[in-house]
Amino acid sequence: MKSKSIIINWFEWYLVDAPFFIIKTFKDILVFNFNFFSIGFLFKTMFCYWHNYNWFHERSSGPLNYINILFGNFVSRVLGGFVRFLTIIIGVVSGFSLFLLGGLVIVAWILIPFIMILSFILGIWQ
Amino acid sequence: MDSNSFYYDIIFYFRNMAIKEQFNLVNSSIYSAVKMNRFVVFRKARLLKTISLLLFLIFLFYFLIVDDNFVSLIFLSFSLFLLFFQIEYFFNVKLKYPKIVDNGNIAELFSFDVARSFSTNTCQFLYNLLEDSDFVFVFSRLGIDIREVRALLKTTKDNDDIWKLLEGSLNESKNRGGVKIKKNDVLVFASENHFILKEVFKNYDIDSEDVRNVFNWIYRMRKRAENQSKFWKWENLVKKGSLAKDWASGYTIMLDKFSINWTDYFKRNDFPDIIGHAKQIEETERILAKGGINNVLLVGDAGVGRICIMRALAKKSFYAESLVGLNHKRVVELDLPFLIAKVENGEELENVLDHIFQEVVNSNNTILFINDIHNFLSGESKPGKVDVSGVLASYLPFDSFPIVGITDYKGYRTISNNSSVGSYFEKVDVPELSQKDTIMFLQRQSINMEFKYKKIISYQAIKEIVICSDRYIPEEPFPKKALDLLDEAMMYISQINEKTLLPEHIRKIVSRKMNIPVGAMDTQEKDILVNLESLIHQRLINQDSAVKEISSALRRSRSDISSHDKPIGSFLFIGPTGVGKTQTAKALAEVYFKDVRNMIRIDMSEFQTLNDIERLIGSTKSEGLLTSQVKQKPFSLILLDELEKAHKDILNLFLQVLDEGSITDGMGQRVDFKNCIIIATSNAGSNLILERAKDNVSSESLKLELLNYFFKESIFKPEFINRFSSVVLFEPLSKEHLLDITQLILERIKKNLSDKGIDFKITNELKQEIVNIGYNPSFGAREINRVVQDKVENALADGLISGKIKKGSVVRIEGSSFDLVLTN
Repeated sequence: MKSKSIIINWFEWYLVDAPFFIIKTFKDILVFNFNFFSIGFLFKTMFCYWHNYNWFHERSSGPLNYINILFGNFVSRVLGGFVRFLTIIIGVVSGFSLFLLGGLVIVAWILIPFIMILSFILGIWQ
Repeated sequence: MDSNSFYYDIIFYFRNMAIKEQFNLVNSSIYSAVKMNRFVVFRKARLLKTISLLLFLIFLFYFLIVDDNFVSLIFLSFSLFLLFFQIEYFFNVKLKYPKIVDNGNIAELFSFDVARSFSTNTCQFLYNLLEDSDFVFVFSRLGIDIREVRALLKTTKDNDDIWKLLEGSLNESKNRGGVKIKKNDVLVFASENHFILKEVFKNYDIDSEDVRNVFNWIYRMRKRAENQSKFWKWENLVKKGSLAKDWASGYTIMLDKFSINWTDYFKRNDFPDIIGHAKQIEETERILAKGGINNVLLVGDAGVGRICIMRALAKKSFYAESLVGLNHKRVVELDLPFLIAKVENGEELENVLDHIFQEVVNSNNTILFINDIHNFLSGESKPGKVDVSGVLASYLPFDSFPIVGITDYKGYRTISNNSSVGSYFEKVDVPELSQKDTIMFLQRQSINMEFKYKKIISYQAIKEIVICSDRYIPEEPFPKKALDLLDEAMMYISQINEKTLLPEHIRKIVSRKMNIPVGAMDTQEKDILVNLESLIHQRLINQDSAVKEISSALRRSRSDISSHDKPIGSFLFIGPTGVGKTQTAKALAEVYFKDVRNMIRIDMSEFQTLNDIERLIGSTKSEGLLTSQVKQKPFSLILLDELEKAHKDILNLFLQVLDEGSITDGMGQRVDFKNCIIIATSNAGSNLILERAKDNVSSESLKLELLNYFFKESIFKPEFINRFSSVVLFEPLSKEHLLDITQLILERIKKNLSDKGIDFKITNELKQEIVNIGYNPSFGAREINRVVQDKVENALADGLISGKIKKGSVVRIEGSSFDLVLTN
């Protein structure tokens, strides 16, 4: 059985293999982005105490102290939530940008032969 | 003709026919790449791409900064860059790695390098293949000049079957788990099967396993370098780490002051490859990840790589490749000695430790480990000793406090006996690395060593390090002993100004360090070994079979033929007193070991009670007489005199020595006897021997009778006798033997007098008279010694002191009267 011609090979590589490689690479980059910003983890721990800073109330310390501790713990959670939320937003924006970039790369890849020919013509013409 | 080999030849023939008939390189998928490779545009696409890019950048720079000429060149160079970019990646990604189309055609399984080099002439094929730069590295590491090999392949007429070579290469590829036939598969198979390469590698003592190992070495290095440059690969992306994973974890300010964060360290300096200990790493992960008590004790000798297991855990946790509960955790080593040095007293230490352990629990993302933990868990606090069991014990039950302790076997006993902490740890045994893993380990270390010392390390030197350290340094584990030996070897070749580390350098160092002859023998040693029997007989009369046995054992050992799992030889000499048992050992010590003082002599009659075991093999308080000497001189002749007089239980110690070549001394250290010759002597059964000598019984039947006598009288057990390489019977000396012995003794006196300028004449009459007086089968040659001392030495001494015998005198002693006669 004779092997494929080089032209067919080239088209297969150009239209199938290479785009798949770009898609897979950007998929890895997007997954990395998701992990880098710990988006899943931050959702799970959104309102956990910030760096586990929390205080315990002792029975004998009185109601004022109780309110004090309650407030402190609340701030710890809210502060943590705020920073985590911000990080998630940055992560999502970053992921979206990478997604767009990936799309651009694929488009650029498809257009490369046309850019190459255009560039050559411009080079001759100038 | 053997029917099996005929059958296999037929199978081979038809298989080769099938390969040959279906073979078609031109129709194979890889042929496109081979065809295109002939064009410069494809072969040098990368270079052309780089040149185009540079031109583009230069013209662009010129346009932007200088003036707007060369615009057309910008476009042209850019289009060329895109063209060569496409050609390069098309060629290297698609053409060189086509999908397999037709399974029947073996050419479909060729890699690009193999297809490009292929020829039906095996010599031409290998000649083309060896042009590759990878092979230059492989051959240089193996110490072979590749140009000579290529020249040999070019000029020799082909005498091999290409189809057999292809089939063998395919099998090699399958064995390594590959699909395609790569160039290393061809070389590995050819190294043992091609008529030229087989001889070349045989001359250098290289087998296919060595070739495989060196290829793996180069592929590992290349793959690491290639992967590092590809930032988009998953393993490189993950190295960047992540944000926010520790935002739900507590701070560990106090812990950070007194610890080393190995995860952070390796993030900055790259995680090392994990070699070996896969089972131990998995076990450690399993214990740490489970609920309840999740503390580990890594138990092994120092130098087996216990800390490497922690590094592996840090790597797997960082890359999220470990078990669910262990991913994204920090692996932190608590530096207890540093902490102890910083605190003022025990109370402060406890407080600080308590604080640190609370931080660990609170953080929920820390795996703590303590090196040499047994030093701190002895269970007793006294001056000079610190014990942290109390404070540690309260945290061990928590599964949010996973801790790994590193200790040795002695330390493990201490910890197990400590009731407050012992039950909270699960033990993981860490054995030493295998030889194969140690070779890989040394290959990895060799890059740094070569850079440090500016020398080259040959593969054979690495292999020799592993072999020699395994055989001659048994008390230390792999990989430590191999690494130490490599370090020492590199310093040695730096001193002697050699460029490449070779196996003979390793043998020289080991020989010098362990005082054992290793490697090739010099002429002098060869002469001694070949003539050992006659050299011994210059000092010993008769006892030919004993001399032959021990000489053969020594020759077998030095030529590396016998196995190395027992002593070189172990002999039991039995016979009456004075027949030459001890003298044989002394003669061997003088001839081969250069001096009688190099013999380790133990009089077993000094070990008649059980308490004497401590004197022999030592105890925790002191070294043993036998074991300390063997540790200092591992290559020795050991003489155990009067064996039957030792306590029975002491003899049982030697069962292990004779069988396995080692024993554990009183300090718990293994002492290796595998480079020793052991000669034991015994007078047991002398009366029986003397009786049977009169009856002219053959030696063999006498020996058998003697052994039965030993077993019946419980002098020696059968399992004890059975462990000796040989039991040699020393028969009583005849008068003729005694005459020769007398000659030897008188020759010594003659030599002493000759040093003083006095000529002593030995007469037959004198010798005969001495033998007549001294002949007593019960006492052997000792009686002769006494007679010579009494009659000859005394007379000579009197003559010397009185001044009768002066320098230049010629003296003899009358045979009948033993009077001194001066002839001038």
